[in-house]
Parts: sequence; C-alpha cells; structure tokens
Amino acid sequence: MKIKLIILSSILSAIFVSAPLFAHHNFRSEFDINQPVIVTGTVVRLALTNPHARLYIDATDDNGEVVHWDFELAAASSLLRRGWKRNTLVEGDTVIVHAARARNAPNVGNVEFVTTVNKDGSEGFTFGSPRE
Amino acid sequence: MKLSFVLSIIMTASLIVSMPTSAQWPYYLVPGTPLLPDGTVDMDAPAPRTANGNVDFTGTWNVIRHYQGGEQGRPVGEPAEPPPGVPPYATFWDQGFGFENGLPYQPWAREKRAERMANNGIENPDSYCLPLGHMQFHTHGQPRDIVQGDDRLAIIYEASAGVRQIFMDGRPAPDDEALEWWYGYSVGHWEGDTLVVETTNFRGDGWLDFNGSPTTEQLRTVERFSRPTYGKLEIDILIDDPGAYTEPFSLRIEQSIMPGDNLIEWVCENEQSTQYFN
Repeated sequence: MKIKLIILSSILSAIFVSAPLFAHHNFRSEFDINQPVIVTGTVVRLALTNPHARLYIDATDDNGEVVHWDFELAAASSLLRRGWKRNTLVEGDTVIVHAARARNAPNVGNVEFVTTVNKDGSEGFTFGSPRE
Repeated sequence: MKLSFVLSIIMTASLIVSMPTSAQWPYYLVPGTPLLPDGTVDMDAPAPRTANGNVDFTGTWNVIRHYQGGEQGRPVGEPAEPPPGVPPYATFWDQGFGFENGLPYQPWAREKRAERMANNGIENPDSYCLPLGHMQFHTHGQPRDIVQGDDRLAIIYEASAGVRQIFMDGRPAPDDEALEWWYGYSVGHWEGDTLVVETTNFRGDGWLDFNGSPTTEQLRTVERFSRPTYGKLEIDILIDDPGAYTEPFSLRIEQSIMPGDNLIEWVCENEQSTQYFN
C-alpha cells in the first residue's frame, strides 16, 4: 500500500511538476528567494503566455484593502507539458500562492506552487512544488 | 521490497507519464516509428535514413542532462564522466562544468563572465527575447525540431522560437566581409553517417552559456551530428574562438527523440521581467 502511494505520488508529481525548470532569465536578477510570501486571493486572470505565464490575483491585505498581485510562472509551453490547461485556473477561483517576492516591486512574485481552495474551504489541487 | 527497486519503478513511472500523456499538444505518433512487440517505441532501433541513404535526423529532440540540477537547473555536484574519447558534457548553465579547471578563458573573458555572474546575468540576451547562442540552444530544456532535406537542414528551437539553417549543397562558407549573425552561417557535409557542420560569421556578443561565457566575432564552431540509434542524437562541438579563449575545446551534447511530441508554439509576446531587474 505504501509503495502504491509512493508511485501514485510520483506520477502526480510527474504530471504537474517534473519537467525541469529552465531559465529564460536568472531568477536572482528579479526575485529574492529569501523573501517568501504566501498570498491567498481570487484569480483575476491566468495568462498562458511566453516567455512567462502570469497569474494575476486580488488579495485583501491586513488593512482590508484589495491588493493586485502579479505572479510570474514558467513559460506557457512548459506549463502545458506539465499538464496545465487554459482553464486550470479561472477568474473567481480562490488560490493560495506560495512565491518569492521581487526585489524591487512590492506585489510581484515568482510562483513556487499554487493550491486551489474548494468552495467548502478545503484545499484542492496543488500545481508546482517547493523549490529545489 | 528493496528500495532501489521501488525507486526504479518510480523513475520508470515518472518517465512514462511525464511526457506524452501529460502534454496538451496533440499526441501523434508518426507512421514508421519503430515499435517493440509490446507497442512501445523501440528507442534502440537503427536510425532512419532518407531516400538518398543519409542518416535522417528529422524529429523532435529533448536534451539529455548528465548532471544533477540545483537551483533553476544549474549543475551541482560532480560532473558525469563521459566514455573514453568523448569530450566533457555540455551544460546549459556552465560549459566549463565538465573541465577540471573550467574553460580556457582569455583574461578579459574570465573577467567578463565573472561580472555577468555577479550581476545575475541581467544582460543575458534571452531575457530580452533575443536569440540564445548555439550552445544554449543545444542544451536548453525546451525541445527542438530537426527538419532535414537533401540539400539543407533546419533546426527549429522551441526556446526563443529560434530557427537555424544548415546548407549541405556544397556552397562555401561566406568570406569575412559578409555580415555577422546571431546563428552564424552554417555549411555541412557528410563524413560517412556523420554530418559535419562548420559555422562562422557570428556576432561578437553571444553567450556560450547562461553564466555568460563570452564569444567574439572570431568564433568558429565545428559540429559533428550522429544518430547511433533511433532514439539518440549525439553532437560533438568544437569551440574555436581565439578572441575569448586560449585554445579550442570540445563538448558533447546528447539528445533523446520525443516520439509523438512536437514543438509547442512559443511567441515572446509578454516579456515583463526585465523591468524588475536590479
């Protein structure tokens, strides 16, 4: 049973995670891995574009103000090979985004992984994985 | 059950699942693909040939990494030992990774590379949707298509939507007065089953790797393409650039066929990262 679980986990990881990341630009030129951020918000738009896909979400900060976040993902072609579809995340979805902040822009980040939130508040699918 | 056996199952499952079944680009196995009795692709079958008898490199190819990938895929750990007579393996990040003392830089080139690494490669042409050099194209994680005719061969790179053409019709390389190009000017000829490609007339500002190893207008490359089996492509490339390096050196690139897969459209229409560089 344990082995089956490991294999299943491996397959799911392969679908959503395994394609090796490759660089269009140096991560460190834009982001700071030592500034992690977790943002829960509502999807405004998933742009499956190149050189990077982008995920725009609205989140409410501690003061009750809506903050517009702009998250960088891998290239669209890379995401497609990892199982993403154009309706993987759609407007209105609630998501929890784990990311690294940009060095010089307050509400920009590079996505580490995204977890969807079901209507009952439980967590759904996770796309991506913690950084190596 | 032994751990190694479990891990081998996991690795196999990952390999089987990770490419075609997860790809959203329509999967289509071209007629003539060699198959084993169980219906899977016979990667060890003989290389196909064109009507005129040449080895046919046509297909979609994925780079084989011979190193452990760390942050963002940069090579870490010990470099893999290539078989006897084979040059060190190329890597996307660092072409000197497999050399005991790194690449044989001219002093200015060593300094330039260090400067580029220190500023996190903010001048990397690829960041601005400009073409990568041959070595980054050969080793990039995104696949490339080879389309081969009798008198020319095109390599279409998904990364940066690059296109390279190699003329095999006997024409000479251009003279030094000709223009310089991102991809250079490539002429090829056959030596048995090996396609030998010489490229000159490069621009002088290309990057040999992601770390920013520089090249100059004096760069000349000689690539030897071979396909030992249906599933494998080998490229040995000689880098000869006396403007940046004290001596020529060679690297090995290996790629694996991606049966049923194709390039996915890649248009650099939404470059927003460079505005945040610092």
